Amino acid sequence: MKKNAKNQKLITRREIQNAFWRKFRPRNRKKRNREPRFKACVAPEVFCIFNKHRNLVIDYLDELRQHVSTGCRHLILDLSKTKQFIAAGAILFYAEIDRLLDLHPTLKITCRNPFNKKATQVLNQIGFFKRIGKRVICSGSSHDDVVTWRVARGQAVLGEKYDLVLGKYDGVIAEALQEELYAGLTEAMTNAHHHAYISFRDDGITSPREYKPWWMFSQEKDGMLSVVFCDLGVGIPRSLPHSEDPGWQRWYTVMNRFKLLGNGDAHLISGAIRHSRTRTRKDHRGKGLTQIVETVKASEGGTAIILSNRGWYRVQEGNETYGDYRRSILGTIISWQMPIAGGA
Amino acid sequence: MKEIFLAQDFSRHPAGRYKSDGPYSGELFREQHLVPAILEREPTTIHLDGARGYGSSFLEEAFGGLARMYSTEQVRKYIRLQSRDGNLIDRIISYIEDASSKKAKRKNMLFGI
Repeated sequence: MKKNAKNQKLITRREIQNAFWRKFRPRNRKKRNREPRFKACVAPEVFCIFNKHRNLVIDYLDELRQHVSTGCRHLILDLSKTKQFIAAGAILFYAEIDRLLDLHPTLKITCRNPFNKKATQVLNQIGFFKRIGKRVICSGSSHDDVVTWRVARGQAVLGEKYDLVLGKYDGVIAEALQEELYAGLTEAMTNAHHHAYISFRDDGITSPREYKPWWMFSQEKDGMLSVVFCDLGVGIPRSLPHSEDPGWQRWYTVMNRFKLLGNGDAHLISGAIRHSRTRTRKDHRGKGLTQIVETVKASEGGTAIILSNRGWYRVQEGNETYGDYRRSILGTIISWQMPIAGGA
Repeated sequence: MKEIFLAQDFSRHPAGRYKSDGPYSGELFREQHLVPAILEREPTTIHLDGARGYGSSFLEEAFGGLARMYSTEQVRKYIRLQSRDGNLIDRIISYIEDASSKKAKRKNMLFGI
């Protein structure tokens, strides 16, 4: 009885308080315009940076970076419409996501899986789901060109990472080609370490000075081996004025003196490659970038492509071509393609 | 005669120019194996086979760097190269010549010759 009376007293008191609040609550409170705490971004159908799909991929990556730099800490990547990943596009996407996660530890990235089963398997094979912390039950891949994807990432020049990506091709591709590939990849790592992160990237996201990552993919498809290397630095054209490489310095000085810097990124890239050759030029063996490009000389039918910011440079069967796209990828991608006999 | 098997005694994955670049750089190889050979005045054969490959940065810093520290004669007298790949040896020789010609040019500039 005593307890009931106490409860009744409490209820009455609460009712009085509620009535007071109803009568005197502030009426002119402004509703806060709250931004949604997450942003959903619809990914393009094809991740490729060579043709008509290039701008869509660049727009998508721009959108992601924009959301993160304006404070969004939960991104939902809607990959449901994505059907295909081409090596160079896939590495750029993976590298951007990896970099955002590295630089923003509180960032949460979730995704809607692609409806396309093969695209999901590719993401699983390259470790994308693991990187964003998503558990995906993906049955064993049925596609030969999916299981052959290999991924490595690192900072500094780590030759042993070569074995992770291309070690399984020992005895499958010629030893001379293996040596050339190793030299090309380690030179690409050295370039990334020395030149790529020499200044701030144009995306407004700051990174520590010692943060100099690179990413590496390999894929075997239809008898062709593709190896792709990527860094998200300032790009070759923008690193020229800061470089300590005497060849690059000379090239930049000449271009600057004749006011030819506006001729496009591709022009600067081709010049940087030409000026990486040894001074003696014996045996026409190159240093740095030239050695990277000359990697495919050891294989008949090989192609090497360097994409840096807006520019592209391609060597195929000794013929050099170069040109500019309209949009920049904000980094450098080096791609080698060469035929391999038989399967690995 | 001393012998150094680069793949076994140093690393199967030599790469990079400076020690800050990575664990098995050209600078480290020069300091650990090439400079002592010259200081001890003992002819040393470097066996280059067995490694994964050689980037120009590694070779230039190891052998070109040595030519910048000592005279070409000393380098040639005490360092001998051994490899199945003749091109590789030619490349190293060109890096040594390149470095020593650069050094001579700098010296001439200093003394106003």
